[in-house]
Amino acid sequence: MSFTVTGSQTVGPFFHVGLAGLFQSDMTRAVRPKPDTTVLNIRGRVIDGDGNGVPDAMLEVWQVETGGFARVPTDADGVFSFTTVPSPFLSVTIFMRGLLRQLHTRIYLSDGSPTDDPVLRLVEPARRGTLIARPIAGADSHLEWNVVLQGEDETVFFEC
Amino acid sequence: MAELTEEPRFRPVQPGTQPPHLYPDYKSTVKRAPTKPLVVIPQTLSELTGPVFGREAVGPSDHDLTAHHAGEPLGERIIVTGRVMDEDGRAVPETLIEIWQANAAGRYAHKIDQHDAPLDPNFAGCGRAMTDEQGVYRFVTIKPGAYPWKNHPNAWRPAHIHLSLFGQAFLTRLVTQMYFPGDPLLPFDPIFNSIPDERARYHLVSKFDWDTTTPMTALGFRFDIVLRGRDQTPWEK
Repeated sequence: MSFTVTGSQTVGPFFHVGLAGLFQSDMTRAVRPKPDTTVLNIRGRVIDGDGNGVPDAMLEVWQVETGGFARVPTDADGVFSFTTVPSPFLSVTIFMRGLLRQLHTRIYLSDGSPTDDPVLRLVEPARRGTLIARPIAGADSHLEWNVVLQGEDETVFFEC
Repeated sequence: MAELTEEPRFRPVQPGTQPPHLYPDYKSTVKRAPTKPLVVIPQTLSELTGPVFGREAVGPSDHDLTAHHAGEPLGERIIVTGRVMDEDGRAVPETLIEIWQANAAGRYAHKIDQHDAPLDPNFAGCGRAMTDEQGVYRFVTIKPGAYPWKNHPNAWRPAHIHLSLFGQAFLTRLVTQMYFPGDPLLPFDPIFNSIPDERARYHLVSKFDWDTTTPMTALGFRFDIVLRGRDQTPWEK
């Protein structure tokens, strides 16, 4: 090995200037869903160590089975949302001001039998829930999944 | 276990070459850095693949940030070019690079930038390019100005250009910042100094380059970018 991987730096507070061109919240575009395909709406909030929403964060979401991709910024309250088609899980990369190096996690779209999953199995059972999207009561096909950066309910982040 | 593949794995990140999540000198990390250890997971198909953007993502003048408006932006016109490669020096061809930056006065064309410096009606500060078959990219822009921020008393960010790259997999994704040689602010900047290894840190400083400098037109700076590379030894089952 002869070259060192370039160091990561924060996206900073002004990333919209360069990255908004590829903001897209509809991951179903990759599969051209038929009228009877279930479309899932995923919604959540990025929350800092004081419990405040993070207004200058961005998520990128990758679904390997369909090639679906989303890039969504958070709003003034730290809220993001996107749509996708059902699959076991989504891969997520998180960027924000104050984050020198991106975070990597997953959203599992059902809590069927997580112990069958080779990645979930590596997470201590008490923290697995942070990776699972929860149905929003009264709203069909709407799921909630939050990014909690610090504390008791801190989201599990991965390294690989 | 359908998720596992026999594609070569990406090498682990070398210690010291990447910033920690918590770096208290950069104050915003304190309430945003995870406090629990990251969970190490195997590289599955989801990490060994990633979104692919083709040439259609890039318009013919997207690489020239001085050509997006009716007039020329103010400032020193520069060319920024370099090669995107993996850890073995192999080219990363046909990959998308997005950049953004402040104008020559140190002001971003962004609604939350309150720095008391003028906007430039001829400069939006964003560009895109694809690397070619040899991994080479090229942007034409103006040299961004330094600007103040509120991290600590009398804090100023050194001049920099933000870069975002996808590479060929989820694991090669990189967002970084390119700095300029000889900038007196570099030793005082906590974002730059968050990279522990000094050599790795100074890789983020571009090099002035006569071969790129164009007579009567623009100064040239070289900035090579290295993305995570795959191990060549076959994966043992």
